[in-house]
Formats: sequence, C-alpha cells, structure tokens
Amino acid sequence: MRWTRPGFRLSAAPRAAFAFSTECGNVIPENMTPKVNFTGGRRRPWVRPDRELPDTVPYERIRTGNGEVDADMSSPVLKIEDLHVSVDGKEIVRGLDLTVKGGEIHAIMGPNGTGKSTLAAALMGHPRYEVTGGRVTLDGEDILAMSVDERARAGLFLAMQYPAEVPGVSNANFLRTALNARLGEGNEIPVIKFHRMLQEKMKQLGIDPSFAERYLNEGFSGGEKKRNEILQLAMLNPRIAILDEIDSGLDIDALRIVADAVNAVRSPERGFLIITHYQRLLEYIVPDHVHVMMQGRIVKSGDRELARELERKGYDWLKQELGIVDETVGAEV
Amino acid sequence: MAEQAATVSLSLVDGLCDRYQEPEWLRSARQAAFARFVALPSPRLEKTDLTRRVWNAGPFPAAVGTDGLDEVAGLLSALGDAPAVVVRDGVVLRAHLPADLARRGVIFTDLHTAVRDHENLVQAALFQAVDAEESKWAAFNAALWHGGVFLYVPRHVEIDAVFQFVYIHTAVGQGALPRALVVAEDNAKFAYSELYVAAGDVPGDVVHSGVTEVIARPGARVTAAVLSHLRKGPTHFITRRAKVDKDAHVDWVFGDVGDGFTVALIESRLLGDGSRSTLTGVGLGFGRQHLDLTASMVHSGRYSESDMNLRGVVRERANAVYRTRTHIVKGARGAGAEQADRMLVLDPTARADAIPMLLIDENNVQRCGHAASVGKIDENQVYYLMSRGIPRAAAQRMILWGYLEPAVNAIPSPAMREHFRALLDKELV
Ligand SMILES: Nc1ncnc2c1ncn2[C@@H]1O[C@H](COP(=O)(O)OP(=O)(O)OP(=O)(O)O)[C@@H](O)[C@H]1O
Ligand SMILES: [Mg+2]
Repeated sequence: MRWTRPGFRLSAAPRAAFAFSTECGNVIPENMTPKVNFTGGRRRPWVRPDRELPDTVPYERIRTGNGEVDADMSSPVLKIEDLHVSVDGKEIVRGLDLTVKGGEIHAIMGPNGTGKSTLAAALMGHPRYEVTGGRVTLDGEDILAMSVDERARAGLFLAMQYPAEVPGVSNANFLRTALNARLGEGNEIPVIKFHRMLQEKMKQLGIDPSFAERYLNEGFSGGEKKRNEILQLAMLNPRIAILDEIDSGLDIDALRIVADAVNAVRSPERGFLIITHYQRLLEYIVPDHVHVMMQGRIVKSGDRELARELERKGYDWLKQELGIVDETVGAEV
Repeated sequence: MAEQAATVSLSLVDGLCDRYQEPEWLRSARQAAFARFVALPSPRLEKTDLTRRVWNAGPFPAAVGTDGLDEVAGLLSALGDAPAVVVRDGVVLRAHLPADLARRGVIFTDLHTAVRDHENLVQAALFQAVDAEESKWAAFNAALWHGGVFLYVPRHVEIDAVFQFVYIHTAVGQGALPRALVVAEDNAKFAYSELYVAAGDVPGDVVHSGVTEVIARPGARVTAAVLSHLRKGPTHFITRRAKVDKDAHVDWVFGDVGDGFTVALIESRLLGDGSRSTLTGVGLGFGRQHLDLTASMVHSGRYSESDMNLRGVVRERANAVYRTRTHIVKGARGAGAEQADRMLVLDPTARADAIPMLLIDENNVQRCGHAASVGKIDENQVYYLMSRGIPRAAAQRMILWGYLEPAVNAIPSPAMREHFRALLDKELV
C-alpha cells in the first residue's frame, strides 16, 4: 500500500485545469443578477437611458425618462496634475501633468518600463498602485477619492494591457451587469435590447457570436482579449477611455477592425488616452497629441509627427537631447 | 464511550419495530446494529474531535403537523407532479408516484411502506452498500432509521422525471435518521435527488445520521444528487455509498450549505469492469461550521473510471476539510481517475483544507491525476469587474457564482436546484 498525500494545505494560485463534467451556459441566473446600487458620491448618474436606447449614440444625448435632454453632459475634462504613483514603495510615476478633453486623442509612447501602464492603473484605481501626490479630476471632481467602480461609473474606462480571466462568468452576463451598473437601479436595459445591441457590436468587431456566452476572457487568445476590451468600450460608452497597448497581439486585420471601432466612437463627448509602442496604430487612429514618457514623466510632447519621428529614429536621439542615460524608472542613479 | 451510548436505549429500537410492525429479520438486524453502535468506541478522526458530541436521539414523534414549514413551502409546492417523497421529522407528509411510472414497475415510496409491501426487494438490497460495521454513526442509523425512502427501477426502464426525496428536520424532531435505498436494475436509467433541509431552529445535542445506499446493477445509469442544509445544533453524520456494477455509471452531485458540525462520506465502489462514477460537489460553510468531508472512489473493476470535482467556499469562522480519495485496488487494470478540489476562503477567520489522497496498488493505470488548491478570491478579477462599474460586493458575488454555478446546474431536480441556489445565494456574503 502506498498512500501519497501530495498536498496538505495548499495555498494561493488556483490551478487552471478545472473542467466540470457539466458545462453550463449563462452563469448568473436572471433572478440572481447582482443588485447594483449607485454608491458613487456624484450628483447625478451619468447615464439616463429611456425606452429607446440607441445603439451608437453616446449616453449624453439620450433623453431622460421625462423627455429632458441632460444639458450637463458636455465635453469631459480629465485633468492630471503633478501625479506621483508608487508600487510596493517604489515611486514609478514621478510628477506627471496631462489634460485630456472630450474630442481629443492623446497618444502616450515610450520605452518599456517607463511607467505608462502604471499611470493607467493608477487612474483606474488599481489597489496596488498608490498615489503619493498630485491631483486627478474628471470635470472637476476628484477621481482619486472614488473607488474603482465609482470611477468607472463616472465615465472612466481602461482597456487593460493584461485583462483578467473570470471563469464561470459569461461575457454577456458580465457586460449586462456592468451596463446596468452604469445605468443605475430602475434604469436597467431590457434583456432583449441588450442582446440585440451586444450582437450588433460583436459583429462590428468581427467577434464570433458564441463569445457572448463564453466565460469572460477565459481561454481567449491575446487578440481576442483585446477585441473584447474594445467591445466593452463600445458597449459602456465611457467619457474618458484609456487604451493600454490595445494593438499588441492583434493581427493586421484585427488592428484595422479595432481602430475602426475606436474611430466609430470618437465624439466630442469622449476623450482618449492611447498607450502604444507602434506608430502603425496611430496611422489608423490619428492622435491630436503625442507624448513620450521616460522615467515616470512626460518628457516630450508633440503632434502626430513626433510619433513618425520616433518610428524612424527610435528613442536614442530624444534621450541624448534630454540628457537621459537610462529611461527606465528607477534605473537612473 | 458507553456512558454516551446510554442516552439512547434498545427500547427505542423496539418501539420503532413495533410501530411499523417490522418483520423479524429487520428487527434482529436493527438490534444487532444497536449492539454494534454501543460496542463501537467514539471514533478518533484526524481532523474532527467527536469526544464531546452527545449520541442522543428520540423519542420520535408518531405524528407531525404542517406548521413551521414556511422556509420550505416554496420548495414543496415546486415539487409539482414529479415523483416525490416528503418526510418531516421521520413522519411521511407526502408520497407521490405518477401512475404511469407505477405501471412501468417503478417503486417509489417511504422505506417503511416498502418493507411492508415489497419486503423481498428491500431485504435483498438494504445494508448492502452501507452496513452497521461501517462506523458508529452508520450503526446508529442501521438501528434507528426511520422516515426513509425506497426507489426501485426495473430492468431496461428509463425515466426522464427526477425522483425527489425531501427530509425536513424541525424542532419537533429529536434527531434525524433518514435512510435512502436506491436500486437500479440492469440498464435502468434515471435521476434521484434528495435534500435534507432544516426548517427553523433544530435542537442541539441530538444526532442526525443520514444514510444513502445506491445499488447500480450492470449497465445502469444513475444520477444521484445529495443535497443538504446542515445547520448548527445536531451532530451530523452523512454516509452515502454507491455500488457500481459492470458498465454501470453513477454520477453524484453533492451540495451543502450550512454552519453545522458534520462528518460526511460519499463513496463509489467501482466493482464492475467498465464501471464509472463522477462526483460534482459544491459546499458553502459559514458561522462556526465544522465540515469533515471525504469524497472517495474505490476502483476494483478493470477499466473503471472516476472523476471528482469539488468546490468549497468558507466564510466567517467556518472550518472545512475536503478530502478527495482515490483508491485503485490491485487488479483494477486500466482504471482511470482524476480529482480536483478547490477551496475559496473568504474571511481571514475561516479555514479550509484540501487534502488529495491517492492510493494506487495497480501498476497498469491509464490516468490518475489530482489538483487541489486553497485560495482567496482573486483581487485582479475583482478589480477588473469593478473597473467596468460593478461595485465590489456585486463583483465578488459574480465571481463566486461563476465558481459555484456549474455544480449547482448539475442538480437534476429543478425544484431542489432553485431551493439550493437560494440557500447559497442567501449565505454567500
Ligand atoms: N505591480 C508591480 N509590481 C512591481 N513592479 C511593478 C508593478 N507595476 C509596475 N512595476 C514596475 O514599474 C516600472 C514601470 O512599469 P509599467 O508597467 O508602468 O511600464 P510600461 O511603461 O507600461 O512598460 P511596457 O511598455 O513594457 O508595458 C517597471 O519597472 C515595472 O517593473
Ligand atoms: Mg505597459
């Protein structure tokens, strides 16, 4: 007899291979959909849908139930002033200023490890990223005082460089819950309308209809994850969208499709902050401003010509011009 | 521990035999089991201290009302016209078998009635999968079972409807000793679903020992869902075993929501060549739950196969031990087994152990794998959902439901599935 007890108390990282013998479709039954309340400290919900929720019109133009147009839903302003962010006690973003307004597209470029994703994560409120100084406001309201979900409902969106996988939660169920969270209690989107809208957006993005019932990002290829991020962008209609390397992992056709989708939701009521390494994306999504990040700050700003110049010449000339020896955060002496 | 056993006496056994006018073979079996119960010492379990638990039960009510059943009213009405036996505190409230099923030779009734009306069938199968030698609590049940169910499906009969057995434990019951006997004749195919549910506060200082025996004869296909709401108060013992003959399949669905003190075993004995068994389980512990669960597959048939997939969640001060045990006996050539055991700990005060155990005595095994983990809700997942506007509590619920839902969906009875889902939902946060 040989008993083996391979693990006594195993901790942390769940393993990947847990296929249930019974597959199931949608995850949270209709009557169990989590109740979502507005907990944000804002004066009004950003989103007021009515019976006729148009598929592509930004929320701001949607009529409210009593027929009033919410005139306050104008162009957003995201204002970042002297932002400092630390991870595990190490300062990564070191005094960053940037203002993104509705209708504008800002591109952030820069070598690896210079703090681009850290900036994005801090804006969204990732718990590991500690803001140690500075201010960030959206339409004058302090974003940093809000929880992650409040920021999202205030209109901030981050397409992540590495989106999480959530087994057992279907894409459709997730999106509907997210959308309803933004719409607020009592304003939920009718199920049929939601599915119509979802299928249409998926079609536009070349996403197979089966992805609606697939579990959120689980087993998605790199490119499929990126498309799924853009699908969420298209569904949730944020006011400020931050796209972190949305072009990495995309094939040429997908890049075009994703760029088209982003262009389709460009509007005066929406501002973009696009983090990318490649000028190619910026040929499709033409930026108004291009910024270069090194050592946790914006070291140079320009227009789309700057991106072309970087593509041609790399970063060395810029480092020389600025007297930077090592651009990585924390690597400088 | 003789002084503990003394809290119940042989007269309780005789009282039951008299009440149901049981045949002599059963009376002597009960008496022998009682002697066995008295003789067996209080067992020493590695993870569970039973020395201070009181072995008490009875007197058993002869009649019960229908008051105090509000918590299960929805469930009872949802059973509808499907075959159902409902027992409250040992007394039968309802026993329904649609006429067309009865015409096909199916027997589904409470176990006392079955002893009276189908004595030979019961005698041939009772105690075959779980006998009094098994454990002190199995002996306790063998001696004192009352309010049980008997399901018999003849050869080649395939039934789409789900056979449902509900045992309701309320303050009226002094302990609970349900016994289910499920017999699938050759090539029979059906699903059985049982639910032990507590309504209101159940008394402490008594024993609930439930036994389920599944006999799957050659080629049979049985889905057996065993669900429970094991509440604080009594000491709960659960013993469920299937004997799986040649080419037969038994698929277990285990579910528990509770804060009770429980020692539970679910086992398939894969006796026949080509026999198969799966176990899909889900557990949620809260309060001061103590759960000592062993899920076990014993392979002796050649090319027998098993798969276990358990998922547990503990919160508050719950302490759950999930053992997944696979034993491949010498001679079980070509056997294959896989086990996965995942535990989520929601609060720092809760505790979970996932203990995989493999015992392989046969060299010629086609597959034998295990995976076990204990962890917390992934904060990256929570962050991701929150970043789309979903509040933290709702995000956590979604993730938890995503984790539990597949097992809940495997429950064959819609009425029980919904009831169990609601129990889970209520206690999830
Ligand atoms: N969670 C973290 N834990 C430890 N270090 C981190 C973490 N996040 C960021 N860092 C460190 O901060 C620095 C900046 O990382 P960041 O991801 O912001 O760079 P990036 O500009 O987005 O780079 P890339 O172009 O490669 O995506 C790196 O040195 C990185 O290792
Ligand atoms: Mg990055």
